[in-house]
Amino acid sequence: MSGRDELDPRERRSLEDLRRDVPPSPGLEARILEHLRSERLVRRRARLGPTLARAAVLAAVFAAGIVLGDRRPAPTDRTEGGRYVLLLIEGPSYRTPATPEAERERVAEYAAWARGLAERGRFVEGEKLGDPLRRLGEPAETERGEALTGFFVIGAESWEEAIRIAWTTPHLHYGGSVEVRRIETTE
Amino acid sequence: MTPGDGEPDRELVETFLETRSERRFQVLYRRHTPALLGLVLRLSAAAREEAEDVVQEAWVRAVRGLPGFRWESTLRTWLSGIAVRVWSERARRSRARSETALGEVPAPAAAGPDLAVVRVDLERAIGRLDDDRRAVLVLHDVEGFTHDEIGTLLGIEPGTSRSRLHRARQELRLTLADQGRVPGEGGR
Repeated sequence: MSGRDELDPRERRSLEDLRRDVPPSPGLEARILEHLRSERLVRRRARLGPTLARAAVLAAVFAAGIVLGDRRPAPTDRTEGGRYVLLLIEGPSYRTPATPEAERERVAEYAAWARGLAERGRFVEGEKLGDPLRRLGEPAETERGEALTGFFVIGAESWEEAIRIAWTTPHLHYGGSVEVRRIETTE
Repeated sequence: MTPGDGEPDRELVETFLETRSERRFQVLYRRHTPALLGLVLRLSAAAREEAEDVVQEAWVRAVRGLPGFRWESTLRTWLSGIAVRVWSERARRSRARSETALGEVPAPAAAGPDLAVVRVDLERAIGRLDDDRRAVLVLHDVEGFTHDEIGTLLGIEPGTSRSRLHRARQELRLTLADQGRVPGEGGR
């Protein structure tokens, strides 16, 4: 139709079909974050200095203690046996999942790991921690560019067993680190 | 694993503004950037690197402007608008440098065949349009913006948007006719 201005349905469909998403280059996110940091438009992920780490441990242990109460005692009360907390820490070398799907897969992997422990009677509790909303009190003593992002509470017969279990956490496969601490009972 | 993954945009933005958390920003970034990059690539018909520069500047402006965003449109539309403005400013500067005047692009004499052709031909033909016509055609016919919205985004009158669209469609049909694409050959 010479001189026509309107699109016919097929033309409209052809043009609308051009609308599609294009995944960005892997480095773009880092470049944008760097720029936003330089203008102080975002805050770096929570740094985990010794003071904050201690507070986080206490918070995690305290939370686990409340959740468990007397219903789920540690597997043993011997000197080294008991409950241990595995603190999941993400530092600069941690490889964050690139897509929401990869994120879900990783969560499923962590959950499967915890289920395996539960089947052996070693898993007590695990939670993912959100970003800190507020930091109260004195600032951290040092800053290492690390963030505490989750924890598992496990039961183990000994410190050595706790360490052996900690070495199996999927978190280590992705460049994260795991800090192991024994939960000390306070009566 | 990232907090906020399943949250609606509005809640995510509110939490981000309260905490300025990089993680919240990352969720927003990952959710919207592929669409923004697709839009800018279609607008600019340019290299990916340039398009990503536009997207980067758009995000920086967006984060600066987020406290003033009133949710009168979706976040995606608002972000798209910012990306279009960034692209438009850059295109203007680039044009000024190359001293290419708008009027130098001749209007097509007559309409050619239709536009229902294979995608690669259509993308190539759109890429040959001048910046102004391509922008209006992409925003209207591909992205679904109205002429009023395009006028606001590009700083032109809605009537100008209409006339540019008319010329863009005509030129596109002629280009496709030159390539031997005629009605009925469509399909992908």
